[in-house]
Amino acid sequence: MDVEASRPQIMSQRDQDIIARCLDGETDAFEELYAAHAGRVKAFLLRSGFSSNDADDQTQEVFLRVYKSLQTYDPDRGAFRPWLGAVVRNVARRYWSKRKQPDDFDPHLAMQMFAAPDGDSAADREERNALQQCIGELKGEHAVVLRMRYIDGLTTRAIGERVGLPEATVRLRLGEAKSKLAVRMKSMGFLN
Amino acid sequence: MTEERNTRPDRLEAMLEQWGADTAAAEQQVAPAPRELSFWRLPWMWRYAVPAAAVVLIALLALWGPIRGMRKGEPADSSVAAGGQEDSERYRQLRHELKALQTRHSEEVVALEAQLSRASERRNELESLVAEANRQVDELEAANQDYREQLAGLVAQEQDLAKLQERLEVLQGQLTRLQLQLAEHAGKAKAMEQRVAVLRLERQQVLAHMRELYFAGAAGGRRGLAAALTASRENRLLERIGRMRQATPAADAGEALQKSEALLLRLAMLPDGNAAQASEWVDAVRRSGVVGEIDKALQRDPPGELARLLLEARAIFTEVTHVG
Repeated sequence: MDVEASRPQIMSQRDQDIIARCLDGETDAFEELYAAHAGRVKAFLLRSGFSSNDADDQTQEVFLRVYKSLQTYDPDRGAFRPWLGAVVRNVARRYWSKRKQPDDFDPHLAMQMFAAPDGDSAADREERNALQQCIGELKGEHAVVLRMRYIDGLTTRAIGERVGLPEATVRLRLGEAKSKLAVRMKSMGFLN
Repeated sequence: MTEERNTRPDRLEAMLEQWGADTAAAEQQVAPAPRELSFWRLPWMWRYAVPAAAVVLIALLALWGPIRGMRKGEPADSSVAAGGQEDSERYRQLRHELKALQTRHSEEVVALEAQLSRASERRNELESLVAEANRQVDELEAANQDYREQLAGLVAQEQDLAKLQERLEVLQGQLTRLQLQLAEHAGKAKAMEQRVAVLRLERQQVLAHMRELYFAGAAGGRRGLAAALTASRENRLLERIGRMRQATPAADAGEALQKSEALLLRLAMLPDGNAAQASEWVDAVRRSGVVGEIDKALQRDPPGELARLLLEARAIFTEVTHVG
């Protein structure tokens, strides 16, 4: 996985510039806003159990609402991402009950998508790059469960069903993966 | 990066959650739409002047050929014929190049298909390896499960063993207490036996003393069979026992009285000086166990007259048998 591609999109200042241009009527600015956040919105919907097609449809619905209500966003009251998360939840709420396997997805991890972004200092970038490097060094079985857990937002039970392992084994592998990561990150000076 | 941030126990978990969220978002990231060169976004001059210049240029090029031919004085037909020959030559050349390209393309297709076939075989090999690895993982999982169950069984057995050890310790304590109690009771029993032996000896002494007193009064201090016969006659013991036997229930002292009466009757009928019959009588007293019957009756604490009769009879019998 490309390290640069997986870097968090820290865009609070950029969001403010784009939003200001959107409010000035620049259609290009809204395209930039869509390009910057549509992936996160769709990822949240996928993590919440939506099918890919439904996630695409609801992503469009979310940005339609954003376009209509963007003037209500106040940058002084918080970052744009949590505000967008509230819009996403409102749109998705009507479809919660239609999810086929709601217990397979971790709601906490799903909402992590819209947590206010961390800083983007050089130290933060270095830490993220180190974590990405350490994950890349993991064995396949550990990397797979780590990805299913933290990228796909699956519960350990759902991971076990998908890879054909008991849930206890999945928990064991997750624990082993995190232990190895902790040791490696400590050796690199990013954890004490 | 602060020390506090690094030492939070959930720091790695938070980092992983953030990593997962950002990676998921990045994988679903929509590429920004390329900026189209929209006609309506162009400045006014470019919007109208450039098309106008293009129209003029096309018109000039269209008129350039006829004007040049008119200047050279050549008919228009000859230039067309020459152009047709060039086109035919060019067409053959292009067909040749096209055929060469098709040949090369076919060769490349064959090579790519061979590569694809090898890749497919390699993929099948890898899939079989993955299947084998999955099977081994399943076996290890099963073995791990068995191990966990066995471990749980051992833990349960250890717990049972600990309970049994506790129970054994309790029982050992109880056994120790019981042994102490047994030793105490054994000591008491021994003391009791000693006490009984003393009482028995005292009783024999009392009975012997009483017998001496009895024969001193009834037989003038003589001892032996003659003294027993004399005492029995002097005290009319046979008659008294006979009356008492008739008045006494068999359950109280009947057996002792019956045997005593029969033996005293034989004593009364012994001829004087017949040592053989006297010896038989003494043997009959011993065999009858009358002394034991009298002792049993005395232990039931009989009334005064009956007790006196039993003691007198006992003195007679023990005088000749030296039993008790």
